[in-house]
Amino acid sequence: MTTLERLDRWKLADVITASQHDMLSRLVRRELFSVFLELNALLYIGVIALVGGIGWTIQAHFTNLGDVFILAILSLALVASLYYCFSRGPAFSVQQVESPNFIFDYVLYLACLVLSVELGYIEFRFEWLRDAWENYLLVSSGVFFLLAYRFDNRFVLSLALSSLAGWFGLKVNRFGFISSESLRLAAITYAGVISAAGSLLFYRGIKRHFLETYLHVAANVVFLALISGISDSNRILFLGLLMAVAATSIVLGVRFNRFAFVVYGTVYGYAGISFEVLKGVHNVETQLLYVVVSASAVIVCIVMLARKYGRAG
Amino acid sequence: MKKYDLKDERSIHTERLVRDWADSGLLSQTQVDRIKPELNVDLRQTNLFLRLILFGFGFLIILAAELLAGITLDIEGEEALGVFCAVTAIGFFIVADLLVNFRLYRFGIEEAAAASGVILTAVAAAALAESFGLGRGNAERPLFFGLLVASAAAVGVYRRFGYLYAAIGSMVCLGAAPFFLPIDEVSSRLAAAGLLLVMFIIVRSVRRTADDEFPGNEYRLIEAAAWLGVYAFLNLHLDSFDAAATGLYSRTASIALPFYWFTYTAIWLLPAIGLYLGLRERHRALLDTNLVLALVTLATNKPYLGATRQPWDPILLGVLLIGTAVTVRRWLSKGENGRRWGYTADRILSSDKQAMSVVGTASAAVHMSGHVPEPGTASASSSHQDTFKPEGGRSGGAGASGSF
Repeated sequence: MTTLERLDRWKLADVITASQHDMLSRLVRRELFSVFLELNALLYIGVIALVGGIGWTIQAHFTNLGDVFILAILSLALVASLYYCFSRGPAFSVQQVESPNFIFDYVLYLACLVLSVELGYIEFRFEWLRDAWENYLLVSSGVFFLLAYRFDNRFVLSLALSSLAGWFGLKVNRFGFISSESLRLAAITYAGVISAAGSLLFYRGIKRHFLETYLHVAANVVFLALISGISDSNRILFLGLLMAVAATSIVLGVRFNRFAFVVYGTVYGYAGISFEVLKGVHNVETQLLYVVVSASAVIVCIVMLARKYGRAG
Repeated sequence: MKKYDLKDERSIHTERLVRDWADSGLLSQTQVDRIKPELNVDLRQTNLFLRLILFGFGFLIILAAELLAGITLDIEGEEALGVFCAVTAIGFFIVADLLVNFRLYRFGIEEAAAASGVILTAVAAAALAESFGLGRGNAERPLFFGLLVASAAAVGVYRRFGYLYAAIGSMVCLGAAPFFLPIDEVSSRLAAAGLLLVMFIIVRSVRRTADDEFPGNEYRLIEAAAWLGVYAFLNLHLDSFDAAATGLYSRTASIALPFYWFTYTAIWLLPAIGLYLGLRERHRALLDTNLVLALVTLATNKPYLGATRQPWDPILLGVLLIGTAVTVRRWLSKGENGRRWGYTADRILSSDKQAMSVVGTASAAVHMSGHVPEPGTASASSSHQDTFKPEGGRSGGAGASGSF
């Protein structure tokens, strides 16, 4: 039986109203077709391309364009974007707020990206902070956090989190090569700080829907840092921490029906244990046997979990 | 042939729609409670994340077990390898089939077994072709046979279990196969694009005889994937995104001019035709695919013409995209009830909102990998005064820190 046939049946049985039947049938037959996602994707890519082009153009032609022109253009774009957001934005609410219009979120995102380019250019040309240039990241991160919360914008929140990560000295594609103890410590501290901040705001009831963004970023950062530490001199400490965080991630993921965290805990935890176990095993057959047995154990546990939770989450 | 009842699969499909409608406020919880019992099916399902773990670890076990058995049995030589892989492939197909008898549906483990069966079948075919001397004079010919057999096996898996990625994988293998024949670049590309175009036409005709619902919705995705493949094999400058790329797409210098300009025409025509078909038929997969292809065409236009990319090109692209989105949005919203010919720019389903949330969260990874030119600050070193790079990043944060 097709969905349309079922809709007819539900209407006849008075499960759904005539207007619901009409609306849902049109959706199924695609007589009503939303291009919301497509238009949002165009805007997102458009904003990134625009700011990328501005940055590239400045990089290539700043000597010809001149500081005054560049800073005037960037400032104008920034002020215009922020003016638009503050003049059109809804009143602040601690709850989730819908964007007032289609382009609003992207104008704010554009403002934040332009601010970043401008701060970078100012320091590049005038060297106001010199060796303390990282503080630009802290400042921009603070501004982004404020704007993200003021206007309920997840893109800007992600920008704030990544800027803060930059202030801590982190960059995603560097994790694979982390060798410095201090960088690893910075990563763990960063993850702890943003998890705590996200949780605190959640429990205070401020933009509770943002919590997951904090936790996804924190989980990936801390797992990568801990895994990279297993090859170091303090490997037992890092392995212990990894197991603790993996177990927490799995337990809380299951408890709150957030199964992405079960994936993180399982995959990173397994990778960490396997790295440590296989380090001392040089026989290929034993290594393969270990994989078969250990991965089977994981499967058994996950099957039990999957049977219990079905399609939840 | 199919392992699952069409009735069950349609119930699952409808149940997903009902959940989305309920989340979107189009149905009340009371209504959902009345509807749900009739949509229950006697199949064991799990959520996407647990399915991914089960698939990944299932695949890992199979790979390790296969290697362990190969080493233990001391498999040596192409013929022995071919027979060994063929036997184990059959074994894994049987295992997948048996697991489905336990009423597993998209559970991960049975999928890992079926996927492994396809890969082992391909290895077996390539190894046996080599052992029969088909690689003599052309070392890559066994791979051609391997890919053809993999393509056929993947179609079999799709027909039996309905895994969409198997159908798409089959097309990938089919498209790649001509590149392992002793023919020139132009012939390989034409053969690959031609085969995928035939697939597109076949799937399209099958889909048009099916109704709009399951499995018609899956045929739409396969159709779009085939179209994407046709484009990918005809665009000679896909490697222009990465100047260091080598291989399949980087041999344009040896390509004859008529074919070169034929492909240039094709990369403009394909997205245009695809967008037209997508809009006419309200075919989301084709529409989205061709929006991406149109962007790729714009991005590869200059390399095609031998022109130098200018720093302001992305600005023009950005303005074009933003302008297009805003214009379309305004045009649609000025229609009756914000709609024109059934198209609306408004969000109807909550799944669209969730998708935006996922993109918003995932954008943190894009920022942290330094691909978005944002929170830039500069290096304190005056020796770097001539290298402003807003996308750079000595240490991260949205490319924020310092490779200036």
